Amino acid sequence: MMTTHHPIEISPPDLSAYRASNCGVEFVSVLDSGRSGPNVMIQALTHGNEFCGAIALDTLLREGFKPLAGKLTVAFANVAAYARFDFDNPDRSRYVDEDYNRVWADDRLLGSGDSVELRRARELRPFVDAADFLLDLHSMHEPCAPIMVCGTIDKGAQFARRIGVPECLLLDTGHPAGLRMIERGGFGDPASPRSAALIECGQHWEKSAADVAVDTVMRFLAATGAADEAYVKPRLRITPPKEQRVVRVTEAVVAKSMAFRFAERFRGLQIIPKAGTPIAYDEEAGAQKVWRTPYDDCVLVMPSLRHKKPGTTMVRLGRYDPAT
Amino acid sequence: MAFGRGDGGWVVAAAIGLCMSMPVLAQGQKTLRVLVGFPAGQTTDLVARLIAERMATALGYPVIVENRPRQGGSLALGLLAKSPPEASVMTISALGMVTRPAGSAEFGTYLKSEHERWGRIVRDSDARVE
Repeated sequence: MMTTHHPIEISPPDLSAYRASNCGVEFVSVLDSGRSGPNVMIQALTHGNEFCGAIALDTLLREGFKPLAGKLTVAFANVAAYARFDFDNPDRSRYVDEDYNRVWADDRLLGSGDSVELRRARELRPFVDAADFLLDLHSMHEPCAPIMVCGTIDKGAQFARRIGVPECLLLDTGHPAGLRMIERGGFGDPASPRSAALIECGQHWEKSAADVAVDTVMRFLAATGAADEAYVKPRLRITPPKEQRVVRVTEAVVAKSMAFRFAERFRGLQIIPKAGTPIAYDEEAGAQKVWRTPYDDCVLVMPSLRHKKPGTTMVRLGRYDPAT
Repeated sequence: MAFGRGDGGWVVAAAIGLCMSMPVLAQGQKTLRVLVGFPAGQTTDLVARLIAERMATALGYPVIVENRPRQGGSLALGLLAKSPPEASVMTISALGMVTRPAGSAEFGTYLKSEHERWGRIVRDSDARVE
């Protein structure tokens, strides 16, 4: 069935060559410099419909990249969901059974549950737990400037500043549905030197999302010492921002019913100047519920009705750090 | 241009003889879709990706490969047949497929339509039957 969706401006890449792996796990490649250095990991296809990151990693592998020091693990994560990508209904291939990026707490990962995504996460776990630095490549339901999701602690934002892109760095409150990969183990521990970042490159299928993915991969490789400037510089595609600014999420707006609707067509990272401005309408226990901005200069983080159902986060609210 | 018409007679290159419908570009559209009736990684797909990459560079806008496997490639041809005249869409397929009798009504209609334009992009002489 045809559904209304944003235009698809990038080709889902052919990943068949990466099924045969050099490390025993399909669609995972380990590139070892043979020299001591950091253990670095980049992951794409955490969500099967977000393939701009897969384009970036396919490009990297096709160019025969070798790390200068340490080793680099390149992983195409939810390939089962990606294999179901349907041009007529492209949003449906986000996952098969459940969100792959909500299963990273030990109680899920080491528990007795079973799903396509849990099985894949269990295959990938040794690589994730061995990584000193991790970059997770994502994209967004709606058009929006790129956002680096830095987890819930400040060191994530510090790591994103080392990478140098994009302008917007997001510190959030996590997802109640489950732990993300970037929060797992040392990545979520302020005392650990291990760091992870998650880049939202733009709308899933817009051409610029692939450019942002390639650019961010290059800057990440440079920031972690896996590549030098001579390799990275000619491959950069985006002018870096003059300043990176932190948005701190304070709360999530969760749909109560299917009647949920936004007050207007908001764009991601739109700022609502006045506290008390209605931003969405919903129904709760038979009565209308109005969602209002809780403070001045409220930033709307990734507003989208695309996966609307009761209990789903429709938008998150935050504000820019005054220090930046 | 007629497809499959070689210097020495009809060419029915079944293996990797590939031809494509010429793109019909809609004004104002910035993306060209290349329908491929086979999965990613298959020969037709590999050629489509090579062509798409170069076309995107030459045209200055995205050219995307849209894998539409199933029904031996007929699904993609059917989609092409059903595309509105203003759509920016083309297909690339093994020659054997486009010489197939019009098993599907949609494809038959397409062959007779005014938008029918074909060009050969790969010829493998080893597979040629004259």
